[in-house]
Amino acid sequence: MENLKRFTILYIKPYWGRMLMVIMMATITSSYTFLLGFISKITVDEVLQLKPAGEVVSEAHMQSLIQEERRPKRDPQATIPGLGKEGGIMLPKTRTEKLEWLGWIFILYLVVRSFFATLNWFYTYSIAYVGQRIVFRIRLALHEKVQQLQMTFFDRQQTGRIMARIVDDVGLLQSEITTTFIETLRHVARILMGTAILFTIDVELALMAFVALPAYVVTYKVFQRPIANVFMRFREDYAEVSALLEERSKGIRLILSYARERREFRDFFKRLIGLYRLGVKQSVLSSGLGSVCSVVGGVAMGLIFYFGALQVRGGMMTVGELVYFSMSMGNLFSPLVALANVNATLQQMLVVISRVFEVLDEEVIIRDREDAQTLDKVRGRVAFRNVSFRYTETGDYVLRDLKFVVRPGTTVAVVGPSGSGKSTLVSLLMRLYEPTEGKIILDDYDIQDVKISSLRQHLSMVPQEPVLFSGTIADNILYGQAGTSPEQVMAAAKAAELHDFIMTLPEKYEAPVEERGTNLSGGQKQRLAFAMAVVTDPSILILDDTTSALDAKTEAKIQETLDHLMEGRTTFVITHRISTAMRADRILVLDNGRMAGWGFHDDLLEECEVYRLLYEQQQKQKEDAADEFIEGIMTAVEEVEKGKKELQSRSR
Amino acid sequence: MADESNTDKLRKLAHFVTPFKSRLILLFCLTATMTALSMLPPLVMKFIIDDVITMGNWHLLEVLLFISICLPITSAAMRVWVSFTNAYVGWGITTSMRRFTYEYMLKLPMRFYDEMGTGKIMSRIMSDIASVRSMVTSRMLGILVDFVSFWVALALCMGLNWKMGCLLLLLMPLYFFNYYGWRTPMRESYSLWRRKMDQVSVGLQERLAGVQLVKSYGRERREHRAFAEDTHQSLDAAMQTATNRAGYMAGSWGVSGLRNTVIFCLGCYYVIEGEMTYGAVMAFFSYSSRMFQPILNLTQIAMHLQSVMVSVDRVLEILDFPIEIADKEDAVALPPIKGHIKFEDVHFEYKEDEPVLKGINLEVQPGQMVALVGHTGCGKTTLTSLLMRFYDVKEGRITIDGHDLRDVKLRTLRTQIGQVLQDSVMFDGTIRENLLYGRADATEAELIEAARIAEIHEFIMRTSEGYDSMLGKDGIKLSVGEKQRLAIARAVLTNPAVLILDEATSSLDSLSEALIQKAMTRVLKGRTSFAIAHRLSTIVNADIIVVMDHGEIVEQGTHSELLQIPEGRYRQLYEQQAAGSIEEAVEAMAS
Repeated sequence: MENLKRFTILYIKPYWGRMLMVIMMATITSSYTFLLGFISKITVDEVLQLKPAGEVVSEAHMQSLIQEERRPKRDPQATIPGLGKEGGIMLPKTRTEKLEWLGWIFILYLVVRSFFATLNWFYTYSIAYVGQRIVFRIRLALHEKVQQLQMTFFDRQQTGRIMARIVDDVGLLQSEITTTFIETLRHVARILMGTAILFTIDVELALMAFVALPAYVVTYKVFQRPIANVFMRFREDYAEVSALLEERSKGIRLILSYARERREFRDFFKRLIGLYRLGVKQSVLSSGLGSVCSVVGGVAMGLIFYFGALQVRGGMMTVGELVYFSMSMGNLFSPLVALANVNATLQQMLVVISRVFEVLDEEVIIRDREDAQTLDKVRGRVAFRNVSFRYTETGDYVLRDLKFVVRPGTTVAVVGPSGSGKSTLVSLLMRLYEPTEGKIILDDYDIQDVKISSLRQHLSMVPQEPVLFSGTIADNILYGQAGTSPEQVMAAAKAAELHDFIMTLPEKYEAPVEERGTNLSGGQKQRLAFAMAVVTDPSILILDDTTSALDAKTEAKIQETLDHLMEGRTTFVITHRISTAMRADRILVLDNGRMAGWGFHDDLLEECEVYRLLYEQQQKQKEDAADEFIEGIMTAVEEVEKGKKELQSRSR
Repeated sequence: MADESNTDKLRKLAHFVTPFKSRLILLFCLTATMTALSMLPPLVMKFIIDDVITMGNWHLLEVLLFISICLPITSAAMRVWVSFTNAYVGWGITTSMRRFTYEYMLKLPMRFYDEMGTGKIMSRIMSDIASVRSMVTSRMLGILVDFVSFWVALALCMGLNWKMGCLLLLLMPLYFFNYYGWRTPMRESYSLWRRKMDQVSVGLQERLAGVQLVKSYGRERREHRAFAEDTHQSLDAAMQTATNRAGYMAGSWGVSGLRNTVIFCLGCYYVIEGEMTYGAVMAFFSYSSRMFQPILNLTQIAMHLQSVMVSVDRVLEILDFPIEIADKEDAVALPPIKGHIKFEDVHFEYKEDEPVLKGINLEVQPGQMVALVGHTGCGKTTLTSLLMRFYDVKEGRITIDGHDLRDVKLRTLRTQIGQVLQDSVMFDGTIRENLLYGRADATEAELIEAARIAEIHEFIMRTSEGYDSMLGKDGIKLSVGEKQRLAIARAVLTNPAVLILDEATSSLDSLSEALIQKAMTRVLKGRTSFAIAHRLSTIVNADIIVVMDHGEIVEQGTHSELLQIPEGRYRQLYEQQAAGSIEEAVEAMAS
């Protein structure tokens, strides 16, 4: 409820004028059917002057005679049931008078109809206007918030779920919920009005009608739970069948290679049968509800007509009033059903609203301090001062007590087994996460005192798997720095040794990059990522295991590019290959989040256990390979020697 | 296939409906009766007002009460019956179609899965089949209801007052004018809105997936602006749609308002003139509104039919896909494989004129290990897929122990060949279920033995529930290395005579790499095996190393033989990979 209040203040209040109008229109339009009923009543009683045949004239054939005779001025019947209601004496009208009245009724009818058609148009439009705008504002607010949030949020939430919140949930708020909300008001108005009208027409009949209403609601309640249950189970089963199908068609090779087709098929069939049963059950139940409701409504209507007719016969009611009564009552049932549904919709709305606020209330941990500084230039000195980090407050430490200083322009290799915290370390440097303890100092500033945008401007990271956006190659290169001139883009591409490739494309720099870069090879994507990183001319470059996914040939090529790019920049190279690490000025060894070593290759080999293990493991593989290779060369050399000797002996 | 008419296509699916023919006829009869019954209440009301009240036939009142109580009960009972029959037939058709399609799909060759992709297969089996079924049960039934409603209502109206009935028919075009007038703008603005929403979704998806990049470059503000722009456009489109819809609805309110006014007043005029009774006017009033909705529904049939035909086409895409790989009629069971495998001048292409394998000749003796080496896309994986007969060769032949693969029963071939895929698939379920996938009757001891061989037993025992731990969505997440070792265990358990190993390319840390190496050497012993290796260190011990390039075997021999070929391809590859280590090794030797 707290959320509902907040929601109303935040998103409905700005449109309160429109909203009020919509509500008013909703109330007015709900009176429409009653108004029509009233016109019918007037027509029947005042214009047509239909009257019940009294006991006196119960002979059937008299009636037609009377009707015939109604056309002349004098109506013999007129005097008999003259007391329509409490003394109101109804004078019989002449044909001309009747036609004149009918003319007025025609105009009245036309006016009412066109008035309500216009009102309805306005109502439909306004409700869309308000609903769409509310949704628009919520989407913007959500997206803005999501953009501000720190990485921990994205680690917790999957992309799909965030998407669903911004697009689908909020859409639901507009399409169903706003409408239901307003419609509910309309229904309430309609019920109140209807009740009042029924009671003013005839108290006894009204009481009788209200006996039927609870039966209506009870039926609804009785069916509601089983229907909801079946519906839910059906949805679950359906999702399961879909999931199964998805999994199996992805793993088709496995099914085929174990020749499991038959059993897979039987499995699927069993689930289909389950779905079939639930499907039938579901439709029988919901048609059952509809049927019982229509029985209640139909029987009630029949009874009302029966007793109403008796009332009319006794002169307690006019024919018009009976018509009016029945028309008004028919309009009472449908809003009742809708009202019984309101609770479910309201719950749904509350869920959506609370989800929206869940995101909006997420604390933005990483943000600029008020006195945050802008860095114009960065030399590239990086110092970690007793930095510890864990993702959640209760979780294990991922990094613990890191202490080191990197001099400007040097290269640091970060090595360690997978899961030792290498990637986390650079994420901290980018301030994608905030250290739990300790400080990270860039030049002379704590990075928490620097504006985030200004910090990240001086840092560039090339991720393990390059992320590309749909757009042209040029768009992607200048992603980090809008307003880059084409020359700079080209220079960056040249530096990343991508220029030559780009020039072979028909559209050159305007060549499209498909979603996730599916039309580029791994090496090309990697180079594009390099170009993206260099175009901003960062002082600090971070390479996150950039080359491990490439084959040896490509890696060798890219290495040259990299050496060139790293010149004059402080560089962090994350790698699990010792051979790559050896090229760095310093090596940082991480093990289980702790600094296991810091220094040069040779020293580490002696001092650092973890490093030595890593080295030996890789060395062994390489030595095996190398031995084989040398052996191969030796044999080759021998062969050559042999050949030489043979030649010599022949020449002799 | 392109020239096939819609009727032909529908005929293909008709046999799913045939078993339900009698039920379907019953359903149609019931529905028609129910629709006709629903026309009665206004008549009852007419009798009450005219015959009972105005004419004073009070003795009829009880009869009418009885009728008006029985009527809703009868029609309610019928309604339940109809909806049961409808669900029975509808779900019956859906289920049998899904069942058949899935069964058929499992017989299709790999080419089908390559071309179709998971998403498309899913939507065909789930939503398209549902849509085809809806044509039979809801659309056709809807047409029937509309048809009956229209004619019964028209007949009743004409019976009550033919002059007013004719007037009603004259008013009908107004509905069409309104409908056709608004149809195009409504459709256009709606599809514009859909497009805009898609744009919003796609953009959002991309930004969320690349959130780290967005943040690293400090692009949050600009990304938000782009999103706001997109969303604003979708808002405009939504409002355009709403305006059009409101216009259409106002139009139809206007038309029905006019209709009601004219009928009511004209009816009353006839009452005054004595040509009609008031009860008849009320009944006429009810029927006239029943006549118009069916007409509007009919206008949409063409559209529905179109969308159903699209679904029919899509379902047929599966059902018309040729079963290229199936047992021949005289296929024999492949006797236990010894392992003598021969590729004779094998040619293969996935797409016309884009050959992937060009004349492969290779002979493998029982128990030999074959290593396939070459750059990505040179045809290594294809070669092993052909051995599993996921595809058939285009030219040439492959024999195992002298049997052409195409002459033996698929089942007997595939169950004897084990395969460890590059990206190992594990299904949702427990570890045990996954390991037992190929052989459900293995004993616990065999299971553990296989896991031990694959070096995964220890890992499994470390998980909370051991072999009963769940994998997948709700279960434990596996690393690539763990998955691959599980896959090895799964393959080992079936004790295949031939084993195909596709080494994972993605970077593993040294420890899990070492474990996999260890497992592989053990598993390969005594089996004819094909290994696709990305690290040459894995394969130095292979009996035959096959170097492939662009679908051809360029070199073939043992490790030391191949190294002796000057300028040889294998030697180049080897030098590249070893480059780093050579220096070290030489240095080590020197010192």
